[in-house]
Amino acid sequence: MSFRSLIQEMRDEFGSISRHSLRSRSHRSGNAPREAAVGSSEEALQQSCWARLPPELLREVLVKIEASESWWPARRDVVACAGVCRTWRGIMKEIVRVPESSGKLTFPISLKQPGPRDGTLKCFIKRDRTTQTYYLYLGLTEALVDDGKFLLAARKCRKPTCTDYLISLDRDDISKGSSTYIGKLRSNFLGTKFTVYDAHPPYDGAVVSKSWSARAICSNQVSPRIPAGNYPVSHISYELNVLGSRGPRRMNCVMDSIPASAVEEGGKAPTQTEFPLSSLDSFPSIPFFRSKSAWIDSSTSQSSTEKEERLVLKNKSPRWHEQLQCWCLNFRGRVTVASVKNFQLVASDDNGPGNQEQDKVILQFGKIGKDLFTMDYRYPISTFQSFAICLSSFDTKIACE
Amino acid sequence: MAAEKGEKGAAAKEVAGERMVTLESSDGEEFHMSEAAAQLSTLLRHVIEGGGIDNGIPLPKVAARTLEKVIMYCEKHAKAAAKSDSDPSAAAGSSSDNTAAASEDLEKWDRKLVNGLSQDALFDLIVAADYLVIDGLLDATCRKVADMMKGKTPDEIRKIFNILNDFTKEEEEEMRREYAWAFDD
Repeated sequence: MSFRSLIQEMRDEFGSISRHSLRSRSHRSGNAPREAAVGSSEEALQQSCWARLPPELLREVLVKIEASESWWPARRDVVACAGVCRTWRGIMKEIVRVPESSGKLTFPISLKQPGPRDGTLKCFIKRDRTTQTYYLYLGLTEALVDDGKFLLAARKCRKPTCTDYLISLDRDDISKGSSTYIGKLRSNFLGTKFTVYDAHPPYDGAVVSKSWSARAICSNQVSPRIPAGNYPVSHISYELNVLGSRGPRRMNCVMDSIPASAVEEGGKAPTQTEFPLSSLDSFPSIPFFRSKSAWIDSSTSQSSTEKEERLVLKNKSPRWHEQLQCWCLNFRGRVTVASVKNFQLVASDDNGPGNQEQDKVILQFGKIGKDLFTMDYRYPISTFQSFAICLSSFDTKIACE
Repeated sequence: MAAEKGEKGAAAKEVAGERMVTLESSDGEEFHMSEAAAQLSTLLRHVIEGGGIDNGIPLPKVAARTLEKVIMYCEKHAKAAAKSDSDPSAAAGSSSDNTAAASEDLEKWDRKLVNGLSQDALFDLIVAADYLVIDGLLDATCRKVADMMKGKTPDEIRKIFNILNDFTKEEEEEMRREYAWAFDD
């Protein structure tokens, strides 16, 4: 048997992934061919040997990449591979585990998913007073601050009766109309009550505060992303404590999108799996979305979660240190400058009889330098929710020094 | 045919005290390989144990140039395993430095083997390692392919691997946003 016919046999046997996509390319309307036209069919087969790697072997390779590039900046290789083609994306999305179990952030959607159950994700925030912008980074080392991996940016927008902090995936483009806009924090006039809004539905059947159409746009059009909605996911309030402005303030965060049971044994928090796109024809036969958080009305809507008790987070009460004459919380070395903005949030006792989860600090925020703060968070809240809650601490006027 | 089960057939000749097996590539070439080395392939191990190798083992899915590399790998690893087994100090556990150094050398050898291959040859070797079920070789070749993708943009990966970009324009926009976020410095 000649070498050439062996190749032919192997190609025939190992499937027609590449051949199928080469053929189907010509049937797709409105799409310019992305690869240069190939010559003879044999040449085409020779050139595309990697495209015909059997799925289980491709998976082996992608598994190796995901395992070896486990932290930033190398983790970007995982994102690059997920952007190669639909097959690769499907496989990579299946391999990558959510932050809840892996403790790793991989895709932008990771920022909307509950943090790790084991340990915390350690981040830091840089404030730019001149532009009223805040930048959130993931810490790359054990140091309080380092080069970091950029996560989110927020900009303060003052309005007549309230203040908005717009939150975006792009540090340079922070506006409501931007495709990288993912939500906002809105404060009331007095700066005592805040609402966190998610631009996308946090779970099936979520109630949107501003009505917009979820109908799919005609598939022949190239549709822009759905205009962002406003889904309230958290309500935060600040009050003075009994000592008035001499004592630490009291924070109360109602997490509308998280049931109280999430912090109990066997509990779960809702997890978005994809940012929704607008056109229905982008659902291919190879699963691209495995999302249950889609904005499409679903008969399996989790409407029961709306009736379930919401998770409430309260700040841990500092203790008065007689000798140091100040209020103290154990920040475990992650906060080094005293500030009324510093806080630790735990699940409120009101949620049920004592369970171990209540002792765990779910969100910790504090100052480490001029315009520099650390933010550590864990399950069941996400990076986005944590960042928004921390922003409220910047804004509130309650008990300022 | 069944009569010589005990001897495992004429193809299992002995060469310098080592039992050999004969393999035939898809293009009709004959290769010899020690039985110890053949054991590294789960597929070959089952064939040998089944006794069906009287006239050599045909491998219609593996070409000569690929089979050559497979045999190189298996012989090298079989020898290394035999060496560490026969090393008396290994049993005593006192030569952990030696075993660590030996395994590092072996890894270096593996890397050299895969680094010297053209893309087509690498592809064929991965497929062969999978078919013959040689875990170590599959691991080394997949790792090489993974290395080829590190630090590359999706476009560069597509060029190397000649993969068609089959995302819709809208999905591409999403990919761009995702990529811009991941590569933001």
